[in-house]
Amino acid sequence: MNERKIAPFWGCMIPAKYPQMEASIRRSLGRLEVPLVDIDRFTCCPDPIYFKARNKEQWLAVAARNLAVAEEEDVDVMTACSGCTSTLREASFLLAEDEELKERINRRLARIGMRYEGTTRVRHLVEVLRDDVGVDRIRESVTRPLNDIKVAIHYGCHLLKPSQIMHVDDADYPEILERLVEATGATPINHRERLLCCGKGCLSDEIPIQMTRDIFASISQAGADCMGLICPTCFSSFDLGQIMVARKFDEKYEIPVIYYCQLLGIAQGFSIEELGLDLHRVKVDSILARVC
Amino acid sequence: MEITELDPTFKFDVTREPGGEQLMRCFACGTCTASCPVREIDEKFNPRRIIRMVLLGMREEVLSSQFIWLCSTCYACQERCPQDVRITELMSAIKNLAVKEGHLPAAYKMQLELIRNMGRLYEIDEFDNKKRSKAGLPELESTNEDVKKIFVMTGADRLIGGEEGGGE
Repeated sequence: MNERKIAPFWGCMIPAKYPQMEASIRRSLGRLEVPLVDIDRFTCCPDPIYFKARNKEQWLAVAARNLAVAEEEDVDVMTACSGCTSTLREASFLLAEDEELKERINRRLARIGMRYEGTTRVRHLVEVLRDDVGVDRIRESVTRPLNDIKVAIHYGCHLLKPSQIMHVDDADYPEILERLVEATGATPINHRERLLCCGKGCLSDEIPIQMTRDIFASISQAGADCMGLICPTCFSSFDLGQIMVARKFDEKYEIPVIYYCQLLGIAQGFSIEELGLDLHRVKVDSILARVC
Repeated sequence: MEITELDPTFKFDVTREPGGEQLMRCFACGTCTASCPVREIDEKFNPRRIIRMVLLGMREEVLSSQFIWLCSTCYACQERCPQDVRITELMSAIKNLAVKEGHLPAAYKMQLELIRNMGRLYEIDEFDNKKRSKAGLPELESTNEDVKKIFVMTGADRLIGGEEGGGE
């Protein structure tokens, strides 16, 4: 395999809306000595729902530009958002599968002085953690284990599916997040809506709120102390979404929603401010009180 | 509805869109609809029904509908389809065709404008950069000329009221 350095691909939501996720990734991966090379030429991936629904080849052209930027900079890409993972992984799959399509896209890239050969590897950070760092080294980095904290994992859709393209884990019986959560000392718990979609891609005011409600009814019944996830879009559905569920259905869950690297960061001993845990709508204090 | 109002070419237009190629493989088993979490909440979205409507040639009823935009792209149907119709991709292809025929939802248009003008879905202003530097993160810029050029050359600009697309 190549020995390329890893460039984080932050996408749109994380740097603008949830800098706490970016901070937690930089800090927890820094503790694990995963060197990251920042590239400032990346743009929106672009998103696999809105932009792709508008025109697939235009979507592919913008995605191919991002892949070509990484290739020019001689880095592999590490995504932190399931949407970015979906777009960049699918784009690299389509361009590898269809030579004619690749040439058509390259004719467009040529007009901005670029070309994509097809060598950029795209991985979500949980794959980097599992495959490059390994669960044992993560466990060794923990100084404040999250003992007795029950974490309901939310996988979201685009990390795992379409399985034909993603190959991150078994799409029906995934366990990558369970292993990573266990490494922090916390206990992953199963619940009936573990693999349900957050609903954010649905152009409706009503349907996503109902899906959020179903998921929180499920994790609350399972006795979760918090939800652990790896996608900023799902996070927005659930952090702000719980407040909307409370308003609409008069059902208060108040279950904190925590990005995986924030969980890991707590276990590695970083402070609340260092991990931006004070920026959440649903307060994380109940968890922090038990470990800090 | 009269049979003369059906458009037998509609299904071929869909199969020509990237992602729509596998449409004809559908044998209407309904696994997609049974798997769909959106359908469980709102009966207006029904993938099997949409596929039948496309095969029958109900062009206007499908392309001008609100329901095609309800797909959340969760891939539950695509993973389970025994005929490998790749339904999530098919829904995307149907939306691409709807956009070509003038049906672009306002929310979609707004997002495209943001990406065109800034290369991002969210503007990073002074306030965001302050928030970022407080968290110990580097400042970011909000513009990208390459994306604007790609928008112009691929014709993406036209639908959001920008310059005329050059095409190829």
